[in-house]
Amino acid sequence: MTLDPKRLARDAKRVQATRPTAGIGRETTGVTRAVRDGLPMIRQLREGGITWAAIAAAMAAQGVTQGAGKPLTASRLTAIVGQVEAQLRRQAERAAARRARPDLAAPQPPLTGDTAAPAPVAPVPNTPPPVPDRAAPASEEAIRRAGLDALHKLLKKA
Amino acid sequence: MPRILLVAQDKGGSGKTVLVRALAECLPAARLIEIEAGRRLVELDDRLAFFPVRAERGEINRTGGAAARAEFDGVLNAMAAAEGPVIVDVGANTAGSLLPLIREASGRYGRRGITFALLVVLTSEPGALANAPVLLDLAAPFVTARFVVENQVEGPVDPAALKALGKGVTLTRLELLSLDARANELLQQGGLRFIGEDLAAAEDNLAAKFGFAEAGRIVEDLTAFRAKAMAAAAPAAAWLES
Amino acid sequence: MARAPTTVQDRLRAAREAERAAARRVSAASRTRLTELLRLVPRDRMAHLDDPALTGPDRVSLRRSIQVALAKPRRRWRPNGRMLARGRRFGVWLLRGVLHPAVLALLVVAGGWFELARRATPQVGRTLQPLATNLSGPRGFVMTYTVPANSWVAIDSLERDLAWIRVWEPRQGYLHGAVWRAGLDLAPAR
Repeated sequence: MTLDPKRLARDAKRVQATRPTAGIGRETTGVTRAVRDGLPMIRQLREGGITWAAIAAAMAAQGVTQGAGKPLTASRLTAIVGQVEAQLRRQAERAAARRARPDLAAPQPPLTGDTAAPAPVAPVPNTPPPVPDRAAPASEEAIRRAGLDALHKLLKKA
Repeated sequence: MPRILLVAQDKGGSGKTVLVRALAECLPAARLIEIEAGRRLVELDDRLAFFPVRAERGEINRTGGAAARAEFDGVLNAMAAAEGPVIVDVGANTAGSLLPLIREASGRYGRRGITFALLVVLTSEPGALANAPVLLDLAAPFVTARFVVENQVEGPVDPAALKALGKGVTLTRLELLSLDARANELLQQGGLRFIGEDLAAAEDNLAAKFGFAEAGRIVEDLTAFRAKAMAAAAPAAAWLES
Repeated sequence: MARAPTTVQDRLRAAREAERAAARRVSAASRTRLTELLRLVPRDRMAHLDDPALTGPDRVSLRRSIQVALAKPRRRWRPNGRMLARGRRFGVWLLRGVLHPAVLALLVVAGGWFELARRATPQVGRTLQPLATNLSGPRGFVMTYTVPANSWVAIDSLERDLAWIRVWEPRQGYLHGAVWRAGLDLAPAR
């Protein structure tokens, strides 16, 4: 059985494009996907001074829920944004390392056009995103938010 | 006539955050401004505007002090735009710089109908004891009321020091309460807001997690602490409300 | 702007009420638990002294109830050290002085003499009226004798109506006779 290389390339690319971008574990609620889709707009709003709570409420209005149909909370939103940005950074680093390898072929241009899935967000350059609270003090803030989240989970377990 | 209450103590760890939370509980309509290096009042996110204080003195030195002068522009603007009661949490090591700036602008604030008051948290720790009168003096020219809360977390404050504060100051006391360890943990995580809003409905969950008796003690300790903190903050909150 | 401030006072009052309610619940739960535990036998109550539902005062009550139940009944007075020392010295004094073996031997001998004398001593009575009797002596000697009134006689034995008396006759020895008992005062005042 002979293999048609051109057809192989075309089908493989199509299948690859329709695969959901491998995410953080299982995507059960779609929040991570929604955040990834809207990340640039979210960053823009934050620079403009919109609070996390407002963004979360707006996303909830568009139907983004967490857990058992509850509206998205600010703390959950910040946690997911942090995860997504970390993942994008890691992807960028790995891509840069791949580009530096001498034995690989030149990278293909990113897929556009012939697939139905939305294009993934462009990988983030090395400079950290200009969100005000991503500097070192933010880790303290992240700890506090995680604590508050844990408390709410404890109180609203039902 | 918007009223702005500045909560200040340049010595860290004196319990200022607790008092700010108590004020927020006393007056749910009040907005908050937090001026700190890092966010603390995360549970009050929906009522709060955060202004970071940059800790890099190098930047300030390099710009010949211009950075320092502009450091508080965000805060001053936010206060000028106040429409209702505002609680300002002035972080440690900040009031000494901020109060003089407000004083310089006090005439212009006055023309907008904005009035100020100062609440200083006092502990028996020497740094706090020394700083309180300094802040009270800095604020005296432009505030219409001054409040001092004696926080007994490090022990009762010397009565002579309290008397030396003078007569123009409304003094309240927050006694040292020893809390159940679990209750303290929850307090650190959620501040005072959840005690007033969510705790009553959550007693069954707490009993399921910690046992019936412990849950009862946790609720008792948390409600007692919140009530006492609110009592210490009440006079300042009453000024803010009227 | 003379609006009386109400929100702060209301919120503060509500907070204090919540505190009081929580404290009431805790002490009520503790009281219930204490009542349950007091139904147990005192020995079983000890295992529950660390029960987390009990508040401090209730735990003290439980402990006291155990102490009261298990306490041995004590005497109201008990000789203390001085008294005991005096008692001990007294015992020694008795032993060395009063209860000396020589003394005891003497007492035994004396006791023997007393017993002898006691047995020899007759019951004595006084005649109320002159009583006639036939006295008989050891060698068949018989004599009629009237004991004068109001005189002492030695009584050997008593029967239903009679009293056997004993009289000393210097030449014959003891003479025995019977008289009517009714004529004698058997418990004479001395």
